[in-house]
Amino acid sequence: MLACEVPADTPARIPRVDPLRSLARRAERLTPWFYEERFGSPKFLRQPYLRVLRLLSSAPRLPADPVPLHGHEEEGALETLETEALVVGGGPAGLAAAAVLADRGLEVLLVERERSLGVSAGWLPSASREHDLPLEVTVLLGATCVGLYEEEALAGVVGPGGPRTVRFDRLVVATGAYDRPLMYAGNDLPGTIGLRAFERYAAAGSFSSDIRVGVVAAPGEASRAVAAARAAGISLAFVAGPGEVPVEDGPAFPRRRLERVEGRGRVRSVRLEGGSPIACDVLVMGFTQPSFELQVQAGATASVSGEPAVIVASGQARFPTLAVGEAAGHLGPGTQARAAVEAWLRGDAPIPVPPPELPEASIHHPRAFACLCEDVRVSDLRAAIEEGFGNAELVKRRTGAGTGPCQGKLCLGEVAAILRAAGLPADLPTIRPPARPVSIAALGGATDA
Amino acid sequence: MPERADVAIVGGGITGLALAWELARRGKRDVTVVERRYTGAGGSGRNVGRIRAMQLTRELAVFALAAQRKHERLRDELGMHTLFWRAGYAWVLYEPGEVERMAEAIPMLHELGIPAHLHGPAAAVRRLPVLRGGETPAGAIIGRDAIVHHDAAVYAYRKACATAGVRVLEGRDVIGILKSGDEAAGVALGDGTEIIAPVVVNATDGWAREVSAMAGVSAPNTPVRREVFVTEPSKPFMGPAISFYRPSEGWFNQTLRGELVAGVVHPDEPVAMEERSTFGFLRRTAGVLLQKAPRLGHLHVIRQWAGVYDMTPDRKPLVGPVSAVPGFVQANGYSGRGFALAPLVAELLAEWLVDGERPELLWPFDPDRFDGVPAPSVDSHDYYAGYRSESRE
Repeated sequence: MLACEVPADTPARIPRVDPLRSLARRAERLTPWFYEERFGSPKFLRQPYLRVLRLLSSAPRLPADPVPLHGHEEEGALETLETEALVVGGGPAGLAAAAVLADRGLEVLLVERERSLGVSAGWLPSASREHDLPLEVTVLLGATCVGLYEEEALAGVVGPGGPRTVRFDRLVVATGAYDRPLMYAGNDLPGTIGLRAFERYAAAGSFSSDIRVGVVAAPGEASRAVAAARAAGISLAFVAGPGEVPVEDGPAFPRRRLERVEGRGRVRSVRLEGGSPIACDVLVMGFTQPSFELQVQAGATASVSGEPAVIVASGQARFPTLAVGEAAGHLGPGTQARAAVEAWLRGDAPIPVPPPELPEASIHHPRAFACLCEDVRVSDLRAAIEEGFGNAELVKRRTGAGTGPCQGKLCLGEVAAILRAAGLPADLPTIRPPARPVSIAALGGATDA
Repeated sequence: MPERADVAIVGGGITGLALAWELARRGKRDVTVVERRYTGAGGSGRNVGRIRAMQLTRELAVFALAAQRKHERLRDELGMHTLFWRAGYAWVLYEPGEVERMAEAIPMLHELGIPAHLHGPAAAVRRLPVLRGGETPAGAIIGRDAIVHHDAAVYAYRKACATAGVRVLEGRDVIGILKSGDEAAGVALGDGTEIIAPVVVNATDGWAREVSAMAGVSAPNTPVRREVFVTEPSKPFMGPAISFYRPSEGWFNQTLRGELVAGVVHPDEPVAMEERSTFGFLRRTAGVLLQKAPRLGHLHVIRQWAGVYDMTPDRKPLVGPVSAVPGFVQANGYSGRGFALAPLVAELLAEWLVDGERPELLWPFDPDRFDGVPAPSVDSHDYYAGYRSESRE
């Protein structure tokens, strides 16, 4: 959800079916390098082919109206804020961290993308809605930390008042986690939703009672899904997972692999290994990829571990850096953040939380989509590796995996796992800024967004 | 036991791979390419694939036109499509003096058969509707130039090299050029391997000065950073790729896949081998785009990166054997045109190395032309500076 920048507080709309959609669906079956052998002859058709290819884009249309320029300032010096501690993320973990830092007399700047603090606590039934942020903490709301820039030794922040740079001595990353997709057949069907998006939509009352919601999740995530459903009055069609799952009033299938999801155009049923199809309209997938971009840009080492494989940032950064909450691999809503920051201020090295080593959660299918942004299948990645594109940088460029709007947040763990399965080093491409998509209007200081 | 090759090429970008393949298809199959990172990691993967024949000087235009035709032939030569796309190309001019100056080049371009037409302010905006609502230009020169997908081109060469039996070593760095007397005799790698070769080619562009120094050759190349950002894709919203030079130099275009790529040059970019990106760049480029094409403000930037232009004092590459160190061959110093020129440079240089005769088109790129010139400096921030003297001839 964080990866894709879809505002969840507006009612979800399913876009009108594009007449080109069926063509586009066929195009999804092609390999990313399909054009190499095709589009070649006859010669006179090469340019028309490309023009048609371009028009077939299923991307959104660019609005025709220009962005209003009021408030746009001529380029001057970029405003620079200075602070002792920069906290990125104003969810439960970030708030707890900011409070501890301020209590210890540090000057704290907290940057939060939402328009208010603790928004995520509103979706998590177990989280405290109270936060007692000391008044001395400076808060920037509606602001995105775009990235950490080594040469300039600062963070770039875009928000109300235009782009700013922030210099800091200490950094706390409290940017949450993403929902990691699994590689089963049908993993791109509409109706599939990540746990964190589900919590948000459930809290907003988006699920009517006739929608059948199923859950496939790791143990901790399954408990969260069940809690979110209960709080929203949703009765779950089933809860399944590779480990234990909470046994509620509905059917529970612990220690079962997901075989495939079926349906034409959207999720209709879910098949667990060795079972018959279970009817369901929405499938909640609960596996966690902690956010890692800022830690890696700060100089931490990115590696791949766990099952399902996820990217883990660890080791020394160029300056004191601490990840808290979900960004540190904790599933609880920020309860550990306070203790973690206290230990960090005492000079103790952060204790890494290893990602879970679960039994395999789904049957891998070669036609599953590894990169959902760019329609790259598991089979495409394997084919590229077989062709000799034997590291993450080459695979990324050859297939386009990780070059879409999410910039690999959802797929790089899987790409690395596939490299590892092929006996190659499970490395990652460079994690470049911006850490989140940010509009040209906001970067240019034209709007308040 | 040292390895041996007829030709050792330092640098696995488009120049190195293309040269290796051109040599192999001329019968010189014993070729080794050494790449420090992975193929296409430097400038070849850090450009936006503009293949522009419209150039400001005759010399460059003649070569660039031939190079564009070479790119167009790659599909047939390599058997793989590189997505050569005639998107069109526009120089958008914001100062009246610029229009006058740029218009001078048009008769020369026409004479060479390069279509380029000057349009007034209203016609320019009509033909480039993406500029609507923005600062009104003083005019625009629009031609039919092309864009290729840079990864597609690099990988087409990479595959062709593999088929032709060229050895491509990735993740291996060259730390020294072996010499026997004055002559180049091979390369030494960081892992202790030596590759004995009578011909060593420096195809490293941004690192070219450093590699030249390993051979005891002092080269005038100076790397200058250029940054790029890319947005999420949209349906087609603009045709020709746009460049502008005043008051600041920059460019933007929509790729075949629908993303916007854009960059505005920092006036005082430090001269150094620098591939890190900056926040200031995002802000500067966004600000200029909003002034010139405010509709683009809706797009979201998803990634940014930086690469270098390997500048020479006259903005022309260095191509061919160096006379001071026989066997040491330059193929670098493209000054920002590497992707466009490399396939043709590789073809001609391969001919030269095989036949021993310098092709006519390569004469202006003599690698010895700066010998004895005291530390020529590169005025990196004025686009027109490098062309001024020659175009007045």
